[in-house]
Amino acid sequence: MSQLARSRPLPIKSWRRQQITSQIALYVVLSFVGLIILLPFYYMVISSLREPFYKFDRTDLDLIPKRISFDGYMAIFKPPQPWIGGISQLINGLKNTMIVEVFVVLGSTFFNGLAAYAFAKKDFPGKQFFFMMLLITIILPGEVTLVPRYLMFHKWGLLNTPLALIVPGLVGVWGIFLIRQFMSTIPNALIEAAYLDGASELRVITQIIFPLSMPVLSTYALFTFLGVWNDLFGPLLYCNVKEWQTLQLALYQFSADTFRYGSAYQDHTGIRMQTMFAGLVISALPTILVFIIFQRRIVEGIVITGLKG
Amino acid sequence: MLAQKADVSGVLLAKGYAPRRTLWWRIWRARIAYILIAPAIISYLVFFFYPVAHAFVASFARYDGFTMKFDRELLHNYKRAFRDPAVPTAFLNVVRFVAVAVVGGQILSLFTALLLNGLAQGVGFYRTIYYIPAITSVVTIATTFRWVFAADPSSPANLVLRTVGLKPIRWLAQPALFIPIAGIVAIWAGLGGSTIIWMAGLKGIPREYYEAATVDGADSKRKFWSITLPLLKPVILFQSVMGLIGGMKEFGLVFVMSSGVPMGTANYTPVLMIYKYGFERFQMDYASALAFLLTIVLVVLTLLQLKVSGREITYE
Repeated sequence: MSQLARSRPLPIKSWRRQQITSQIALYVVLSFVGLIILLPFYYMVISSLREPFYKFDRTDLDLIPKRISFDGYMAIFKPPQPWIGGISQLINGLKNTMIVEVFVVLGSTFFNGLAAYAFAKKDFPGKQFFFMMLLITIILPGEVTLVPRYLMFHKWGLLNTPLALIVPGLVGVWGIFLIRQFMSTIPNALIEAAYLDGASELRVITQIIFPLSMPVLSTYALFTFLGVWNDLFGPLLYCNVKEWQTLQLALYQFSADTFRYGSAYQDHTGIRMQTMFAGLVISALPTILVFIIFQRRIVEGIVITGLKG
Repeated sequence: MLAQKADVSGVLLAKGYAPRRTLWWRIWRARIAYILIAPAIISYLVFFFYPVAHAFVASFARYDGFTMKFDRELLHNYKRAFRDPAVPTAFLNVVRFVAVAVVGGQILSLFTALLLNGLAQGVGFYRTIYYIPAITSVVTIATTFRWVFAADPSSPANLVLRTVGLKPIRWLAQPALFIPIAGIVAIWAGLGGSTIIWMAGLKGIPREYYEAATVDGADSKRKFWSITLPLLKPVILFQSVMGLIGGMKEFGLVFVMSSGVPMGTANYTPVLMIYKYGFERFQMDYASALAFLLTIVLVVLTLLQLKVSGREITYE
């Protein structure tokens, strides 16, 4: 009886009212979750904007600053204690990250694109074998290679140079699979027609395959950019020198040194904490911007690869 | 030129002519393909397969600085791993981490995915906000929370306790609290990614099922337990195994959040343990053996995950 009553359609007016209240409830709950997600970022930003000699050891949270100052950011550009070459540790890190980014993003998109094209469109003896070889690397975790890689880089003189980050980064099996999946949807007739017109392999690649694969290539380039930007492990192990440390490693070291100072976390400059948080903001900002601008591509990529983070 | 490119061999093969072509001929003919895959294959041989083999050999050796030596006792590194109390600590920490991060994170993200699914407008807006921590670097996140949960009475977490009238806690400096806090931070950072995967799973459930259930008089609670959850089983399995693998590989969060906090081995995860032995104490041989033990665990989990993601549940 009660089931019957429930399945009887409600009068249209009260149905709409119910809809609206439930929507409002959803917005309230979801916004609350959103606030929790954003709160640490807000805290990061306001901490980076505190005035010099702000007392971080205090008794209230002080979430709405009465005074803001950009001295923390200024200290990154005009460092009170320069790193090497008169620039700050974080700017030096930023410079190194950019160098690695340029080579790895362009190089890995190019090389993975080439291999993906061969696996998608070419037929050659041993294709299955080589493909299986790459598949195995997905099952075997990269963690097992950490120590031998270190020894290898040491032997070859790549250790503590950006090459230790660039060279292994030029190829990635996920990239090959992702790009191959897209390239196999390019019609063969298009490629054959180009051959018939006398196009060389190089022309086919540069004028048909790569231009048509732009959506997937740019998605992959975005993922690579984010991956290189956020990487701590690689630089920590293989490129851990003052001169060549990347932004993330520089940030890690800077914050580790800051926390070592004691409970107030300040030195004589009075802007150590602010500079640290400013560095965190500078590290987070480009990735957030890239994500917001290209988010449709990235979300698609997450769903395809099941990749998180 | 033309005849060579416009694949005549296909025509001949179709007519049943057995081509007298050697393997070498076919390899030569496809030479461009080999050039195309060469960078990838060489890179993986040099930076993956060779190091794996090297690690395997090294795990039986003894390292003296950078030189490898072998003695009678080949399994000494593995024997040591079974005596080392840090090893069970590291793997137990993964279990504790996963118990917080994966169980809590999955329930929370399924909840947000269901709410977002019911939303008429603005789904993209919330999804963007939830995903922001996932594209933020581990250093940024861990450093911020390193300060939020600092042991000082003036750390944000302690100030919150103070406003509620509680005494300050030495959060991260307390070994029992460290891993659960890292798990909570992981929930916060992973919520967006999991939500997106849940939403993709929810989208895959045909509407007719819900319509049929409505006709049968099922309420929304019943629909959730009888339709949504059973049909999401593949997603649940997939996410759980992925979470377990992620927990096994956890490094950055634990490493950065414990920097400068005297911890001993209490905060070890398997990868952190390998890092400490290999790169702080330079016991390359022992670190290699540990890496191989971790590899065995991870290979089993990955095969499980491949099996899980292949299986599907339908009500057809």
